[in-house]
Amino acid sequence: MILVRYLTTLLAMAGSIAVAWSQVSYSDILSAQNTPGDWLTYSGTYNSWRHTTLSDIRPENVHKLAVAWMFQPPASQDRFEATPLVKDGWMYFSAQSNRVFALDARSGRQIWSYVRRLPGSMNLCCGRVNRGLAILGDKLFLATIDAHVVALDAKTGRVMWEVKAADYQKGYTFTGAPLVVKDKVIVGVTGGEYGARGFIDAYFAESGKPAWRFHTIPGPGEPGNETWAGDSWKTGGAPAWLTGSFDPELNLLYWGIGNPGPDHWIADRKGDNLYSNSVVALDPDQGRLTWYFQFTPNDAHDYDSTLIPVLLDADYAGQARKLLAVANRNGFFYLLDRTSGEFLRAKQLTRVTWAKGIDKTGRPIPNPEAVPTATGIDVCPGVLGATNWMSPSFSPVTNLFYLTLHEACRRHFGLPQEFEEGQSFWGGAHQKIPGSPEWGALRAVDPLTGETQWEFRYPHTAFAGVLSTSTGMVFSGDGDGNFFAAEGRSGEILWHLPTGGSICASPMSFAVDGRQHISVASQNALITFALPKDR
Amino acid sequence: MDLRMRFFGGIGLTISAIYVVRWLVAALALGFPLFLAAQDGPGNPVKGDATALEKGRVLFRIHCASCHGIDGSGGRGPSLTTSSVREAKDKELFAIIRRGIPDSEMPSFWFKGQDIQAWQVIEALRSLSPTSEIPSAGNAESGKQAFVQAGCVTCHAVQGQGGRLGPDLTRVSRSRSVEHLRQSIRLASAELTTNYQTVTVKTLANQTVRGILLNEDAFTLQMMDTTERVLAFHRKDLQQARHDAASLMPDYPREALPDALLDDIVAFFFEIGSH
Repeated sequence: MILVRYLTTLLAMAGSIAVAWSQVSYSDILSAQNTPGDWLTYSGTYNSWRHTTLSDIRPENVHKLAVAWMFQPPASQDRFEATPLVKDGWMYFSAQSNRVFALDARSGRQIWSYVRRLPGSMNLCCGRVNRGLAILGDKLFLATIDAHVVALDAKTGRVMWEVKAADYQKGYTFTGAPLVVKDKVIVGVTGGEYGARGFIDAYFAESGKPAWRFHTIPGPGEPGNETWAGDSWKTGGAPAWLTGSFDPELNLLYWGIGNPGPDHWIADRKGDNLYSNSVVALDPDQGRLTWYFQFTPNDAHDYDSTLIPVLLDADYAGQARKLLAVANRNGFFYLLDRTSGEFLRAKQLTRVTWAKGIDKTGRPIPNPEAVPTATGIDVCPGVLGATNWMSPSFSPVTNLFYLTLHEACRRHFGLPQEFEEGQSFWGGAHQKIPGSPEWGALRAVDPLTGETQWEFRYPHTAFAGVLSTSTGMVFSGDGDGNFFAAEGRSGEILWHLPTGGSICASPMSFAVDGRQHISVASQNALITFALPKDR
Repeated sequence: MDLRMRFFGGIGLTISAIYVVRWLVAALALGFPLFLAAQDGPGNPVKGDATALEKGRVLFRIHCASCHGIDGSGGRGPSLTTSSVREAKDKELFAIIRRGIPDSEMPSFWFKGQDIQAWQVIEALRSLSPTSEIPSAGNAESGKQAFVQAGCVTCHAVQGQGGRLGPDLTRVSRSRSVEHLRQSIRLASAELTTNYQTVTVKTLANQTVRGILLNEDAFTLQMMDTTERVLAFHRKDLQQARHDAASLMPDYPREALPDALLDDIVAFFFEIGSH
């Protein structure tokens, strides 16, 4: 009896002195906003706000924020771009070249690691990067650069199942974090520069069995196929390489679709090229299309619209609306009704020369002089886009939408190109414009109007995402390596730390031992911050 | 696709130690002569391919012509029509295109991971009409004196002597054509040299400082002022920091520097650059 009591006491103590592993259920993810100590999905919650309600770190004490730990596994080509996941003090982090690490979130010490052996030579547009994982039950999900989906035992890193989604030798890869919805794991493919035909796949999380595939380019006989001249639909790209958002009430999955191919040569793919550069609303159970909205028809500038759709509810024009906001690579900020896909508003974010404006239906008024030629034309935004894959954030405290933007025009060349399977399919090229200034910024906009509230500029373009906090702050970083906190309403910089490496990742927040932490990847280091214990 | 700043120079360091050991064992097993032969490379796989040549010419126009000239005769970058390029081995050109030239303005061209495009560019390079570099008509000895007398050494170093505000010109003739050098002296502001951005800052104490930018981020700025002081500022201590389109180098119109002296100075650059 005494022994039992002793063991019970010991176990109870263990709960507080050790990090105990636990599973993640779908209802945990559904209600992730109620457990801010965990970070269970790429953008934090299904509405993709990338917002934390943890409130230890506040404007008045953020100047005390200090590095709690750093994690630097052996460096590899390319850099960290992922957002970690955290559940009950266990952190899961994916790195380039398909490496996954489980860490003790209190100390950053590695618990296990997984590496997937990759082919020696791969044709990749943008490196062997990976942006994150998904988790459900006892499994972690990694979408690999060689176009497989792998389920790992979250406790040990052992492979539980793996499926080949597509052939990497034909230009298909995965770089984004999967999204778990109900019993399925959902992934979007890359390949917009390789003449791939894009898709979004769903697999049963338990078994890895395919559930559905949504082709982002409709096949013959399907509505939308007629928006591609001739056989151009077969090699039209339209990838889906970031992570979508989900509205459980409407039971709709929102996913951004990328550029049509070849990127800069449009003469051989006349038409709107659906569903390239659109957001699609899918039924997550069957993968059927409910509605779509296309931002950039017949794009010639690589204006992928894979960007994170942010879901918010607000009164718009005197009516309560379920809204979807996207800061688009094409230089405009868009507000849609997410029930129907109805276009509500677009507002210019940066210099724009490819279009003369947006009409009442949301369709751009194209500038015929902005079509790439063999001798090159200068266009704004350039190929980097007004923004890119780095996550934006919506704060329900300030009611502002925060994004990292680029002001960078580029010279785009258009040239006819014959398709060769697995080879890059740009139909031209692009380069910097000599003497044309480029810069980056963190911008706060009113999502209902798109109007800028404030902006903090960097001398160089940046690929860091944004985290907002319920204490009215935003955290972000820049390409020069600064990680910083700004006051959310004014943009006043409250704290910053030069990390010494380029920040090309989006920050997140979690709690362990009752203390709030903030993590962000910088070059090949994962840095975790907290207030000193004696605060 | 997602475009990010890339660091092209690094060769992948992802090969594990095991791979290296295996590779060495395999190389030894195959015999060293074969290993050495493999290192020499197979040459240009698209040699004589007319389609590849055409593709290479397009790539050359997009990626190379802005520095090396549309016909490869040079400009901001050296001429590619000279014997040193013609006599270079394919694999040497390939290595330069893929890796760039460290400490120079020649970047690496990764071509989206496609070696074939670098080979196509080499095929186009081989098709350029050969020319010999037109030597400057001037007198190098007179140019040396003019270089000193005109005060160029205040900002420019040659052979270890001179200022730091402008580029070291000892080897400038290896990467610039005669015509480009002439134009750069006449009108320096037409094109600022990489890493010599002019910057003007105004401090909170109303001091204005002009110089060249060494580095900057959202919070700090590092510069060298016109007296070669290296200054590191916090932006919060500055009222203003401005990039100037104009070079710190004054223009040298004909009235200030007759054509003959200009040719002499350029000849001087070619003289010292040839050593």
